[in-house]
Amino acid sequence: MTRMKARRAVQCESAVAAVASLATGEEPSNRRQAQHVSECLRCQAAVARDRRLRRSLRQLRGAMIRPNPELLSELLLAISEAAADEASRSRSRTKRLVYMAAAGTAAGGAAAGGIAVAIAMHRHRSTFTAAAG
Amino acid sequence: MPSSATVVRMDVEALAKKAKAGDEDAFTALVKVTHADTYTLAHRLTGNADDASDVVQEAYIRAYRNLKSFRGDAKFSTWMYRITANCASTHLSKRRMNHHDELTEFMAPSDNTPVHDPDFVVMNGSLRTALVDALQALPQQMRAVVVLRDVYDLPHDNIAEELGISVTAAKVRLHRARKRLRDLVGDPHESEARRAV
Ligand SMILES: [Zn+2]
Repeated sequence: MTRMKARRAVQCESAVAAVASLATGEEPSNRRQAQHVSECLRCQAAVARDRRLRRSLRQLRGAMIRPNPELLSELLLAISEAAADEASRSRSRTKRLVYMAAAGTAAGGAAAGGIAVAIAMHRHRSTFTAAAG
Repeated sequence: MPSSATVVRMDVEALAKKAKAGDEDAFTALVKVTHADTYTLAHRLTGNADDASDVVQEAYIRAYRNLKSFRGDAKFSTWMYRITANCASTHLSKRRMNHHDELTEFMAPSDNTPVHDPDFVVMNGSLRTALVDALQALPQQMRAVVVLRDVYDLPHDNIAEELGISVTAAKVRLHRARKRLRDLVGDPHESEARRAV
């Protein structure tokens, strides 16, 4: 490889982020890289090829892959368990807050009032029903 | 009259709004309407049905727990794609640490049959198969950026954030992934032209 060709290859290699941006239809963020691409036929050809590839890849977006038919019921079961966990964590938080409220009564009505608001905010009964189908 | 795809999209956004407000039936309905789409992304990212199912489960549980942080200005699907990308990345790096990753590179996809989608433009079947196979042949980290950017059109900064890399690193990885894909399938334009002859 001649020295000039080698230098050009190094420049192309350092402009790959700009090639990626241009192929995606965005302005490159690095001006030096953008300048290189605007003067380099090799990089411009790569932009054109990547644009075509991107157009083809975009079409895969509409091709769904069918999940296993059991996946939905498994998902809903897992989510209902997560909801139940959340509810039990919330109940133990509430118990803690009640305990703190009792202890805090001596410390003054204002603090207890604040805790009562917090209890109301944390009171949460999960009604998640995970019926699949 | 709006197309059926538009109606579904409108329903999804309305359901997401209700779910965010605490309506758990709306969240159940959201899962029913969106799970096949989420699964498709998970499958494209992981390359196999078992990992895809695990990733989808993790993604919906995370979505359920973080619904309050879903901002109505982004589409629910985009939010869900980001969570799925993050879960897939975490799931696959855990597997790599367990030294089982080599399996994913050789597993055949279980079922790539396209289901009806009104937005789907018919592409030459053999090109689509070649592209899907080539995506599966990419190393997982390259596959993630090209799937998220070129198939799902997620912005570079979202991709970088979910994969835990810089935006520049995401772009460099994308360029390399595209080059590798072109090496594997050839130039789509030229392949189509050759097949047309
Ligand atoms: Zn160049």
